[in-house]
Amino acid sequence: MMQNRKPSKIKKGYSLVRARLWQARFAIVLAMAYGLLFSWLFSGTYEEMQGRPIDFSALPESPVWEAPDADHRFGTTADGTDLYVLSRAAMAQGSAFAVVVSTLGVLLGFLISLLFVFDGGSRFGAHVRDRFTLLRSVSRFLRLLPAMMVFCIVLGGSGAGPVLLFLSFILVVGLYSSETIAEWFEKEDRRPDRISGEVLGLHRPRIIKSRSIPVISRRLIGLVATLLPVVILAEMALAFLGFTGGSLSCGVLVASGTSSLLEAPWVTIYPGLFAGVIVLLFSVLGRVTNFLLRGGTTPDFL
Amino acid sequence: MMHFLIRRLLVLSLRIGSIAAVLLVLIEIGFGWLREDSIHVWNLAFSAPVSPELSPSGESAVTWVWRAFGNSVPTLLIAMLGIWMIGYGWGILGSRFRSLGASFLLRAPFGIAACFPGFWLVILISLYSYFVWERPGFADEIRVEQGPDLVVWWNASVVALPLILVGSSRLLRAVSSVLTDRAAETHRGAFFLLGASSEEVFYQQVCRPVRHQLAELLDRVFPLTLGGLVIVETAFHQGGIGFAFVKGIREGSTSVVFLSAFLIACLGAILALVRECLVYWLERRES
Repeated sequence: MMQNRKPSKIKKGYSLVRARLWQARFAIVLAMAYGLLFSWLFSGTYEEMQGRPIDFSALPESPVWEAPDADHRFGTTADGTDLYVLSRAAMAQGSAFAVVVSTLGVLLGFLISLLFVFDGGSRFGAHVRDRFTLLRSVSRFLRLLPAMMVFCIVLGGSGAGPVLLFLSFILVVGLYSSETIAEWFEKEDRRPDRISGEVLGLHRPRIIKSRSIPVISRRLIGLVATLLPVVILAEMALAFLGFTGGSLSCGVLVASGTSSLLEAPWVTIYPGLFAGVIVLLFSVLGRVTNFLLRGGTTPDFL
Repeated sequence: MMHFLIRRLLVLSLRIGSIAAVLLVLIEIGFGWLREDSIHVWNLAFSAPVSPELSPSGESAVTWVWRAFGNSVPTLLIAMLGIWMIGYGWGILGSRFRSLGASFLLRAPFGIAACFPGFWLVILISLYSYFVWERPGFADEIRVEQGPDLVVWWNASVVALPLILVGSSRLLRAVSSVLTDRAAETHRGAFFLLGASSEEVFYQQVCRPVRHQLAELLDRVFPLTLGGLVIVETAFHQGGIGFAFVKGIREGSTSVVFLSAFLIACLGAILALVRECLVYWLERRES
């Protein structure tokens, strides 16, 4: 019996979708993993702590601590708040902060690197190489002053408002990631097809727009994913020092527990452990994302 | 070499000058513009006594910060030596046996430990030593009045441990990355065809030509270590330079903040000079 050789549109569309899904299988799995992690962090009941003013700075006169048990897996704070709920809320806030800061910071870094990449005045990127060298020198100079100290001076000196916290993080992430992004552009410049394009008389900006930027903008996602755990840890460290204006953070929880270490060690131990596990998960996911997007080495900016 | 050294010394002095200028601007932004009770950089007084909250004996800012720096030296020594030993040693070892997955296996424990906040690890160690060994707990809880002060080195190693974990994790990855990139070059395979053993190929054809690249990584994790020092010294109540820096910020003492940050940044600049000289020397030997 003869069969119609031309497949139906539905069948063709189905195969196309299946092929695209198969191509994007890793991206889908990663997106699902991130989705699950974020939804778990943001879900749950925060009624216990919502609307309640949280003051970690002083111990109440008669603390109502409870050691970890079946009802309170991590125990409670001096005012009776469940530490597991509190830690999860703190990490939810910390991770949301890290997502916003890393994304905007990397975008800023991308824009800074573009300033050094576009140069219509020279062929074969001779001037651009000088600019890359300049950017590398500036970046090396900036690294002499640890970013953590910059945060401490600006945030600790001023009394740290949330806007300042966001702005300083975005600026530092932007400045430190610009070198890595510029390095990617430099490597792209050295590829044989780019050099052939320039030899054949194509304009450098056109090559960059059509070839380099699509490749590099994909890698930016990997860079954001890798920076997430770093930003979470930095924010926690600043919160531990008391330079984030007292906003809820695992760093603040650990710091609040240090005044009652002998009486209630769980107030310090469990939030730190919880934060470490969450940062580890973000770190693993970030590395996998960066690896799949061929991001290569990422900046050590703290 | 002499010409190069003089040139680098000039660059170092320029860097130090620029660091001072950047710090002054940062302090003016933080303490001057954004703070309600403004403190300005033109009021810096290095020789005036610091507030009694910082030093009850009324030492000057320079003396107090210098003494704090002296307290941090053992910690920095232990931390940097540990980082270099583990980072370079295990990084090279991991790359040598990368086909067996050694690179990943050696990196994994440090990578996992680096995900936990350093200040929390310090508190855990202090708690453990307080409850299990009964002493010493935090750095400000015991003073040795007679005999060699071994507690200083114990305290320094407690503070250095989280710094070693984080720094080694980064350096290990960087060293592995340099060696793996080199080893992946296709023409290395030709040496096997010529009868060389994998050990010869690795040490002679992979490690040797990238010596200067490995030397470039010498100060890569130093800013990270110094940034971490600020946090872990505060967590452990160790009166070092990081603790002085944080205390200076809390007390609004701009002269202490400037001096401690300047000293820390100068250390980074000096190590950068050492790295540049080492790389230059290696490149000259190769050429």
